[in-house]
Amino acid sequence: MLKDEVLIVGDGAREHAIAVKLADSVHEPRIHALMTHRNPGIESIVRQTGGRVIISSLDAKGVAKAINEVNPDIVVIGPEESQFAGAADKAIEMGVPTFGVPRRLAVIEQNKAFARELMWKHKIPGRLAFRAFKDAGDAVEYIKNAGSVAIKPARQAGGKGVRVFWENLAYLRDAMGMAKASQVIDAARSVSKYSDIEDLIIIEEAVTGVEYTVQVITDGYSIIALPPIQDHPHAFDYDVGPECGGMGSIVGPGPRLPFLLDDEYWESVDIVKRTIEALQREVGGRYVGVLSGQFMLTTYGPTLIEYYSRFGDPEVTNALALLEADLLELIEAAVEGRLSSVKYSFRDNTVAITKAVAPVGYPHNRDMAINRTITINESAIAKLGCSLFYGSIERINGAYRTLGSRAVEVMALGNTYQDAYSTVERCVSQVSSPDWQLFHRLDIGSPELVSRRIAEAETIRQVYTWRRLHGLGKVRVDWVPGREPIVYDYS
Amino acid sequence: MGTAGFLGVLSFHDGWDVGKVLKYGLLALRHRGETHWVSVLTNSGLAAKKLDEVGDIDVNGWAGIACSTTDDSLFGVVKCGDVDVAYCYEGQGISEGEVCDIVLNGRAIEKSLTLLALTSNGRLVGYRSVDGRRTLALGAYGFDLAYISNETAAINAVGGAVRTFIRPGSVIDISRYVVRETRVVNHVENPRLCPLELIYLSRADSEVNGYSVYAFRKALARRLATRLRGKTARDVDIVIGVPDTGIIYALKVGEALGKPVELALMNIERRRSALIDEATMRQATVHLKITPVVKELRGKRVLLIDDSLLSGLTIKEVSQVLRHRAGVKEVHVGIASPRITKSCPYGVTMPPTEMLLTRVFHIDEELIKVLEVDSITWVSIDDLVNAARETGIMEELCLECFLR
Repeated sequence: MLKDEVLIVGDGAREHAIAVKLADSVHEPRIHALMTHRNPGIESIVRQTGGRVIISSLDAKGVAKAINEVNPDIVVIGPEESQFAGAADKAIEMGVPTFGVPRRLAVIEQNKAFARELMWKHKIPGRLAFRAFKDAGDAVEYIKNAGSVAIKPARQAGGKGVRVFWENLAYLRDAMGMAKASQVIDAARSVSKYSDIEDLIIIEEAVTGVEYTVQVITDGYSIIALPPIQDHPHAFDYDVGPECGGMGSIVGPGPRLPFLLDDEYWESVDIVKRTIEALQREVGGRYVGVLSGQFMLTTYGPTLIEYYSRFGDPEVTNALALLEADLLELIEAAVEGRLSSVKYSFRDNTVAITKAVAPVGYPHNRDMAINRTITINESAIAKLGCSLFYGSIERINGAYRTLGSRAVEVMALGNTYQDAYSTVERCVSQVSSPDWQLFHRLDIGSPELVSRRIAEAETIRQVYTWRRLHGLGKVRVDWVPGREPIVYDYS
Repeated sequence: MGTAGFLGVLSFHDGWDVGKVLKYGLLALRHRGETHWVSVLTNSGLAAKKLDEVGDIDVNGWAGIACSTTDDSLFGVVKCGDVDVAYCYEGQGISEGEVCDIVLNGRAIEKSLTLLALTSNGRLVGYRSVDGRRTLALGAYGFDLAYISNETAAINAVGGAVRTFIRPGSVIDISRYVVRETRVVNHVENPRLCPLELIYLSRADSEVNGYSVYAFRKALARRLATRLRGKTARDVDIVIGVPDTGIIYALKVGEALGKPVELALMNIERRRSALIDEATMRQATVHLKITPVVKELRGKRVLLIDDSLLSGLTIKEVSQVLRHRAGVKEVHVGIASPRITKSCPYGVTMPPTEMLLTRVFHIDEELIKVLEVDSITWVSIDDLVNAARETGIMEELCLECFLR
């Protein structure tokens, strides 16, 4: 049966990208959108396809309202918070086939300690040693002697991210003490606002390496692994500055990254696949939607940093650009449990570079970044052949105003990085602000940065292949003089 | 004007005491000068002080700069309108007004320098003049810190990773809200990298514009060995280097010539004699870094390697020590730079032109009499250029100090 009434839940650039791809379907679906604010891009697709916009919260209540209003054949849920807030549960309860997981499965993203425990319990490769804390004081005490650590909020907590502290230089311990403690307090505070989680902080062994994201579409039985995409979590050029939602992403040429070997990619896909299986076994239910693994190539090999129970933003833009398939058919097949029968392929010889443009103030001082005017020369961007995705932005009295986060994402395709890079930069220059400063990362997608990543990956690869060859692939032995050696078993 | 090493840091998150970070960075900058200075930014403004010892930074803040310089004029705090600017630079002398021009107005000035500044309103600013003689690196530590330095070893010393080298004629401007590299000159100029950076100013574990200083010195040493091969090399028993920079050259020359290299000159204290102006201080410094291992030297014919020769004081002192205290039979000298015949007009600290030995004594026969050595061998300018090419260095080299 053809499902041509689609309700998209979400109002960011990610949902805009999904809407664009869905509107491309040969079945010409009517697209409706549940949003908290009128995303100009999604709104225009809704208008073109004859759908409706429903403004409400992106939770169970909002979804119920939207379903009653537009009576969709299928619901597609974009953001993780909607999933945590039971949007999918509600849609399923109301009998609407839903792409995007219910609460109990979204726990894989919501609860970082759960995700890590799941991996350890089911012996899924790519895991890291970690400890979860319910009390900030205990965590502060623990990190005093824990060596190099990554300190994160135990729950997905808006923009509050990870901070990593390496202690490979013992003399810098003193300087780091206060910084580490401040991150524990910050992370704990950001999580304590939520009542849906017990742990406040998780502390993991720190790793270093080259990052990439593997997004997998699944119907709970089989998977479609999308190409590996590289996001850029540092807010500023040259990988400097705080962690943010991601300032841009790259893929290519074709469905690969220049610094990642095929074996490494497939090993990562396998990790995500095993996680889906383990998760379903652990909490029950069928995982219909997207599970994204944010990976790092570390001295262990492909290592899982974090899971998203949805498409990554901006990674979704690159993946969908390369995907040659009817997304509506694919989503339909997923909800009906027949994903393995879907035909799809990926564009070869294509590089896709996406860049986010944000108002200065993002990510940590959103008060500064909010309510600024933005001018976008849409026709010039279209003429240059770029795709434009609207994010944290709305149209008030004919002018675009920022809402504090990444305002737009601009994507260019090309045959080479050089090509796509020069196009995307020209397109980004069509976005400006008369009353504020905007920023984007110049270095993303540049041939220089890509070469640096290749060199970094090569260094790391040498270490992990050596470790694997010497029987250390799944074992780490720590020895403090005068004490018994401790063997960590990663098998 | 003069030589300086500097390191700046800015934290993007609370909880950092940058003084505790900078003090270790200074340890990796000491070779660029004996005067140490630091300025940090707290919520109540800029604090600055001169340090007696590298290790005793006791001021704290969330951003800061520190430098080791040859000269008190190379750092300071200046008021630019409403903003206080702490700065430190290396190169040709500039006025306080010019500091304000660069830092506040992003205006390039017609001088050769690199500059690091910290403003009372929370900006860490680096500037590299368009001639590109000197290098300037941007580094980071995780999601927490940004670093700027003219010596990558200093960034590494404080746990940072080098992310890029700032382009000539550009300003790197870092605040908690944004990081921007901006080109501030319109005209294009072929950068002319300072070869003295590669020969002896930088640490061997640093990279200049991404090129390994160590690799360059190896390539240059091999060329010096080629020059020495034949007569001089046949006539020597051992090779020794003048600490510290001369050691790498000695090792590589010895390796190429198949002669034993001995660590026969020991350091009592590490100081950079080339960067000290005053004659008696320099002599004292030389004496503190060349106590001989007498039993290894007595009766030997020695090939003494150093990185450069300016006034010749160091070589003369060493040759005297070798002869008079250690009893060596012959002292042959190999210098890993061409003859430096002109004091650097671009701000590298060195004696004035009329005090350069090669300027006063044009031919080697006279020069070796002054130094009381048996022979002297130099690398040529071509050797220097070829060593740079071999290291992958694309930039032209500034050859000003080798020209008459």
